[in-house]
Amino acid sequence: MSRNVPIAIVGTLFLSFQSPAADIGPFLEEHCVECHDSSTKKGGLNLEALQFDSLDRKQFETWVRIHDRIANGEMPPKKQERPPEADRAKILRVLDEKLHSTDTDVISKLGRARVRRLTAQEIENSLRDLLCLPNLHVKEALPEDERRHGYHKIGEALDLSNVHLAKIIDVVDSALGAAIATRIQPPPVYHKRFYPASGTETWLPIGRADAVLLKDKQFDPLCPLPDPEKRIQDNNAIDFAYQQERMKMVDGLGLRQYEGALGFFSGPVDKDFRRSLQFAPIHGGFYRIKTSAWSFWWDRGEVRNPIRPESFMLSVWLPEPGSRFDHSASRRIGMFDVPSLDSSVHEFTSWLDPDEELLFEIGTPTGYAPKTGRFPSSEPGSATTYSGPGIALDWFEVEGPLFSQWPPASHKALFGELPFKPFDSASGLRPPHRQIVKQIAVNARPRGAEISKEDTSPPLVTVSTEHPLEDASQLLSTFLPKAFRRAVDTNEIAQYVAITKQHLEAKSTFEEAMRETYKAALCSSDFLFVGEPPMSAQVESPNRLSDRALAERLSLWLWNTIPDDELRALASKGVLHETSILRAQVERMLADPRSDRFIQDFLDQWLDLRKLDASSPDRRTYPEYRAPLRESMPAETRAFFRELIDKNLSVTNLVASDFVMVNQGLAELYQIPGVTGSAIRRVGLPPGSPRGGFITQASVLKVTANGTTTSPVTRGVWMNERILGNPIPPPPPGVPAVEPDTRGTSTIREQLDKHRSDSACAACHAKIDPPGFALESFDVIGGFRDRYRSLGKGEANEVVFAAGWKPGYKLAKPVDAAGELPSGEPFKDITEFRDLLVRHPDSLAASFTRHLLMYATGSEPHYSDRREIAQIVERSRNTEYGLRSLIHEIAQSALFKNK
Amino acid sequence: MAPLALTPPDLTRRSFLRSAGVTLALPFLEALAPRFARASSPASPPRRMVCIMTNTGLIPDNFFPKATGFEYETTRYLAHLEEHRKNLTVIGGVSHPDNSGGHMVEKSFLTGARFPSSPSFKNSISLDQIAAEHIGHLTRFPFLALGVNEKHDGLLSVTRDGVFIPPEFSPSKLYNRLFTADTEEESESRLREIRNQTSLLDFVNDKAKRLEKLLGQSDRDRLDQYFTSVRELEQRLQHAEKWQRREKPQTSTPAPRDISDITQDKDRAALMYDMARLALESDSTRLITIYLNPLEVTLKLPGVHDRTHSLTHHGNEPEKLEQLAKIEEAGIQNLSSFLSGLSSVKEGDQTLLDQTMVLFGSNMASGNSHSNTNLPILLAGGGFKHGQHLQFDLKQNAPLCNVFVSMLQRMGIETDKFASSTGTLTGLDLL
Repeated sequence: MSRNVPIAIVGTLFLSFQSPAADIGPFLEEHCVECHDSSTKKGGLNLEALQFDSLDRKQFETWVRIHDRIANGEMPPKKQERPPEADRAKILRVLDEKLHSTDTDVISKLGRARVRRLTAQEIENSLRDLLCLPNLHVKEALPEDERRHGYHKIGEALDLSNVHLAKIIDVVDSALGAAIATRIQPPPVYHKRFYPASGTETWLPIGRADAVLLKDKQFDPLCPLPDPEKRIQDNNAIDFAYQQERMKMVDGLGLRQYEGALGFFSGPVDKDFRRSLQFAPIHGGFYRIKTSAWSFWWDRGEVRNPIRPESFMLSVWLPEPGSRFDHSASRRIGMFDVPSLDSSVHEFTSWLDPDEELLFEIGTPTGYAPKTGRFPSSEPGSATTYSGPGIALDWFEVEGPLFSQWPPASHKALFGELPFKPFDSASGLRPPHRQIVKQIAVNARPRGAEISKEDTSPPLVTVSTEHPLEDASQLLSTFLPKAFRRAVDTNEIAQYVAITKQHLEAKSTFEEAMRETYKAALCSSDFLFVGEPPMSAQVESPNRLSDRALAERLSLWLWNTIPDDELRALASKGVLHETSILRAQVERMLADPRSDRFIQDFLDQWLDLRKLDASSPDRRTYPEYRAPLRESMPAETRAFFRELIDKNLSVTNLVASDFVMVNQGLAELYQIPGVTGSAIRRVGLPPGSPRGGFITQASVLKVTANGTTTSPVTRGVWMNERILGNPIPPPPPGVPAVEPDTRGTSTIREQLDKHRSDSACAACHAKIDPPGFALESFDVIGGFRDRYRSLGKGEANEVVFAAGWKPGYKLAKPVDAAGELPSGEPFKDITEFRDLLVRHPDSLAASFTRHLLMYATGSEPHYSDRREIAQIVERSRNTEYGLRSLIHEIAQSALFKNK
Repeated sequence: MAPLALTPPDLTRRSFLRSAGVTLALPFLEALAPRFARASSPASPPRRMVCIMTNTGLIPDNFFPKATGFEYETTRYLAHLEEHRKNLTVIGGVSHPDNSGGHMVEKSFLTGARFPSSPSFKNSISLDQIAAEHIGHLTRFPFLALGVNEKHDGLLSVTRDGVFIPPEFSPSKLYNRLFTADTEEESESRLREIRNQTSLLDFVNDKAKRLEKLLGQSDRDRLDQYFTSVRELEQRLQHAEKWQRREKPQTSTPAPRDISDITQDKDRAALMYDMARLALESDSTRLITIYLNPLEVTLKLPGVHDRTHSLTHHGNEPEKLEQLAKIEEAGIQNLSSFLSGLSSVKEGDQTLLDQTMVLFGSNMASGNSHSNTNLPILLAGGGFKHGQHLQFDLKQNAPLCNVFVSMLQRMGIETDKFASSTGTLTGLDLL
């Protein structure tokens, strides 16, 4: 609106403002209305249509944006006349007062957080803890939770539909099934040593010379190396006859009895190398696994000392028939180092589910053929002509299932000490359902002949009692308070016993009747919903959480599960909220391994680590991206977060630290010398390293890229929202997307510059792009680059990977990582960029606190949080905003203690 | 079919066996076996709807013809559909308004919900679920959500609460649900399970009322979802119980074996298409969604050796574009076989394709830019005047939901609105 617009319109504008409007009206008229009136509506904002007295949600949010843009100095725009500082301060004060009081009014009536259901992850963890089933997997069977602001803890996003409920009933039933023991004695322990070449699964790689027989640390000519002129496997020049001949020869070697070692190479670069070890337990439980392995340098038939330490991984997958070359492992068990020609023996214990088949995965990239990207079996002669690293497996041993008690803890959690009795088929009761125990993995051990009848079909026994209803009542009076996180009176217990009774009358065994009863409890709203207000509303602070609800919130935050006995005991005494007790509990919980669940779940959401596999890097451009490196990436980030909490390190470490938490694979990617082995440990950064902080970690750089290209916009938005605390609105409709071009002729920045030259885009992109520009120095897997990689145009590279081979990509245009903050401060690279960020530790702390509060309270951020957040930040100043201090301050804050 | 209509609903195979004695010869029962799974035979063949989405985008130049109207020259992809040219419409210049964000838009392909990539996105009901509310009760399966490979960002079928309905990924399991008769023991155990679940739901419903009393109004809506879920689940159980007591239809097609090698994506999808056709043919359902996700697979196809996802980010490298084209072509070939299959089934003087609307499309146009406008869309069969390339404004796209409204109306559902629709699709006329 221009100055000479009829006064009547301005009058209307004023009329809509009530009393505080008198304070803001002149400022808006002077500085804002010209562009934001009903006819111009710049940026979609029409101040004339905006109320100020009773605000609905949409109007409230509009005023918040107005406040923030004025506060950040973004409005009025720089080219306009600057408002006097006093006027600016005054309107901000008036707006803030109005917004704060409006928001606190609403919160005082409704509370800040909604009552919500448990997340899929919380259901899984709670069932694990309630039923003593440490490895229960049910999350994948539940619908994935929706998110708000990236978090699935937010009540408003946690919908419940009939789809959810049906799945919850299913997973609760299967969890109860897994918990109930069905035999008097534990299943027999299977204990056996296996030699890798004796498993048929390895015969294909032996035939293709992806693996070689080794005896006494030397090549064993029992299986000769391939003809150096012939190609065994390739899409084009394959020699079928020769392949057949090799496979037939391997079949005839009598390898089933072979007790030598098997040396593995990496296989084609576009696929991870993994082989089944052909062991799959028929019973779930803990298994002791022992391996003997070593590393070597293969030199065209000769075994030599390795040039660097290697490692391998053990993982599992669920068996499926057919070709398995492209299947992913479903779970990684561990990574193990093999530093030299001497055999290293590793022994460890791991839980295995029934049917999970053990896999061997090569730990480091060990080869690459520049032209084809395939190695070694698609090269003529393959192992005959190959020089490079390899890993040899002498043998592996399994022993299990191992139970420390029988019946197992899971059974006792449901049935206490009740005895087993043979099922009496004359009783007229329906026999309890029993899973059939058998080997379902093809060619896996134990095989049919190794499994006794006693093992697969034990006598039909079931829990027995002379006083079913009394026992039901007894068992439920222990179980229900744990499950419901509150006292459960006899009346309520009787309601559950009635279910037991009903099923007993319908000819169910006690076991089945109790199973149905527990199922009802675990599908009820009492188990599934959290965050209810205190039973008796307190007059003076109606939104103060009861200690019971506080225990729940604390436990779901730091352990991601329902409260344990100690928390419940403190809550029932009514002392949990007391400062020193709450502080001690936070300390106890952070020291407990269950806090790993918080670290993993929170980082999955805050830093998007759950998206690590959302894209797979182009294998020819990024041949060093392999399963072990992928596994190490989130491990680094979790270890780093743990370190910040344990040592109470400053929030500035989010963006800049003088150390990293790495293993050999990550150190090689980060070009940090002297780190060997697969264990993650703290390593000081060499001077001049661009690393440090979350933002230069491979995991973060990977999730903010698409696998082939990086976009400063994607990374910039991510940095603003996740680290810097500036939520970015979605792009306006109709903006054409950038068409990436990786032929090496132009860079993403050149393509973006065209896009940004539009003044409509420039305002937001001034904020979005700078962090993205700084991070352009890192490629899609987190490697540092000063030139882009290309498969098209570019110069040949001189890079030689630590494993001793040259990648095939080319080097295209140089990277430009310079930029300018919205404040006008320039930076020339990531290091200078970070130096600018750490000057404002308080705003980093405020942003981090805002994120952690969303996770901890399950509430969307509210405007009125700001004052309390500022106090939380202020109170942690004396520890330089240490992360542990911030966690304590959050736990003690009103935002956390109130609904 | 007539005999079945006369059969009282409670006269199950089991009770029949009991009353007639077990000596009753099976051939007699064969005569009772319904060809259709539905309870009674309608006067005219029913309308059906199949919605298929592939999430890779389709290289626009290989898909869209240059010319519009009926006389368009075919393209690399459409060439594989040439035999169905008269039975399909190529639709260009459509998209969902306020949908951007690359893969995220997958969430709203069949719902049209706005801002799928916003931090507070809330999905809405999908096209097939609206239709299921109207006609779902008529068939054994109110709808079938099918898929090849797990979800990437979203799925197709979405409940009224905005929750994705997990698809069936296994053709053999689907086949069993469609055709394999339960043994008496299985049937009894299934019915007992239904009874148990029903009483469990009654119980938890009562328990939740206790919690409800403690809650303020703003928190009640969360718990209301629980009550609604319980009620809907009870309805589902009643539906399942009713159909558990009825015979399943028969088919001469033998049970399939699942293909577990994910690199054989083309064959895996083809098998799922086959099952979809059988489900329609036996009238086990009239509403199917098929979610195709070849993104994280390296397809076993001649000339393809990279993962689809990295190929969609081809950066205009010709070699990658060619690999991607081969993958997308394989998807179109599968569609073509599916359409051929539907048109080979006769229903009176019509074909199954005449009665079945088949929507095929992608949530992205070009995978390289991950753009979500000018989506590649095809509509085949189902009683429309086909044969042309309909193109709408390439700058200001027409809402894809207009296609959906046309489809709902063709299903016989009286509605003139779906999500962001502004009407029916101009130029898409009924036969």
